[in-house]
Amino acid sequence: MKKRYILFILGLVLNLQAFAQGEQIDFMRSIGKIYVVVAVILVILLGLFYYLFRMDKNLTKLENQINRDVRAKK
Amino acid sequence: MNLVKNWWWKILGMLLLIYGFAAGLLLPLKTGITDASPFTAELGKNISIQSSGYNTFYTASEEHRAWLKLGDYSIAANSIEVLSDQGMTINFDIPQELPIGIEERSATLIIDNELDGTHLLPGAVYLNEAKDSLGTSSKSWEKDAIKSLNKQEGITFPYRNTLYETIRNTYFHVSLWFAMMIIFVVGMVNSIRYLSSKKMIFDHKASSFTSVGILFGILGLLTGAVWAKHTWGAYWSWDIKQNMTAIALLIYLAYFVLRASIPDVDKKARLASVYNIFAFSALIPLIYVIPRLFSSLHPGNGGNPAFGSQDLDNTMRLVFYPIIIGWTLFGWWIATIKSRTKTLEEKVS
Repeated sequence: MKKRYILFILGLVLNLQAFAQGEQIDFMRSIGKIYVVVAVILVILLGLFYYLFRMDKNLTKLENQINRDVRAKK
Repeated sequence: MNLVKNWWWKILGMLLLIYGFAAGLLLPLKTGITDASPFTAELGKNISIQSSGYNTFYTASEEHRAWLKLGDYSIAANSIEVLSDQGMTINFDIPQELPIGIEERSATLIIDNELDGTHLLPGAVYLNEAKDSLGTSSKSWEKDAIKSLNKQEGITFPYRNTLYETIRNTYFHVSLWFAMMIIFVVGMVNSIRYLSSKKMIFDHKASSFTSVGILFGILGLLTGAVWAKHTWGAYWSWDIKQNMTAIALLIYLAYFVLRASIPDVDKKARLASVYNIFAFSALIPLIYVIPRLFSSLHPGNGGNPAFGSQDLDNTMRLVFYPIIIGWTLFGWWIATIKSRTKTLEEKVS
């Protein structure tokens, strides 16, 4: 499951790269290279989202465990 | 009251990040010259240079002046024709000979007007000897003739050729490394506290902070790679600083490999704490010492501290330092949530 996500994101990035090179060779260098800043911010956001996603998964696991324990006590 | 006590620093962190992103993205760059052609001229001849300005408003300003500068010597433009807000044609009569005592042949193009201030392009025009016929210019170089320059008004970031707008990445790439360093220090301090007190809470904190530190480090590497692709030409240039930080992060990643491989909780916490202190003491030379001993594509390497006035002016500092604190508090927040989760986990099992 995890692998599929990573492959998907990788494919997306590579596609974007190919698109940027094929369609408009200087897209990233246009308007004073401002899109490089945009790309950098996107990388940061994606990284933070991924990290939050993982934290969420850990917390869900803990919640489930607590729920199971409570049910067992009853 | 408790609400304020628990939340003030989280809100401060958010506000600083919002300020950093807004100011870092919205403030304009200073004016500059992106391009001047042709880039060679013959001594003694007339040359008309097409120059392209960046962030300039040539049509709105009245009094334009331009010079070609070699060392302390310069010549003023014969005539200047404004084509658009960004384009102008500048005519120079190049003198018959180079100024006395000057070997340098790459002249700097300087443009000045009251609205855009002074902006320049170093090495804009290379002066060759006249090839066929002798030139007709009667001009001569004047010493220290560039006077009463205008200043651009408003708050702006420095303009650098090849960097252009990506100078803003100082706030989104460089600041992450500073925040990573602070977060790693906190992680290491908690490891020491675990070793001296043997309380599990400190081990939870240590591993959480280290994890956030690695997150910032990996984000730093990735954002650096994107930036490098469009300024140095490749995602990974095997630059000394890139390599050393990658090694430092690998050492830190091994911290979690170590943790995962020991089932016994106390043993895990003890060994991991010792390893964390080792990893931190490896990080310092890898990031702060070795890269400075070698030449590097990164600014300020090869013997210099990381920032001179060349790379970070006072306007940039006003955004740069707050956003470092913002990232740090934000990371601190994530780490706290993580370590609280771990403490709960321990209580449950």
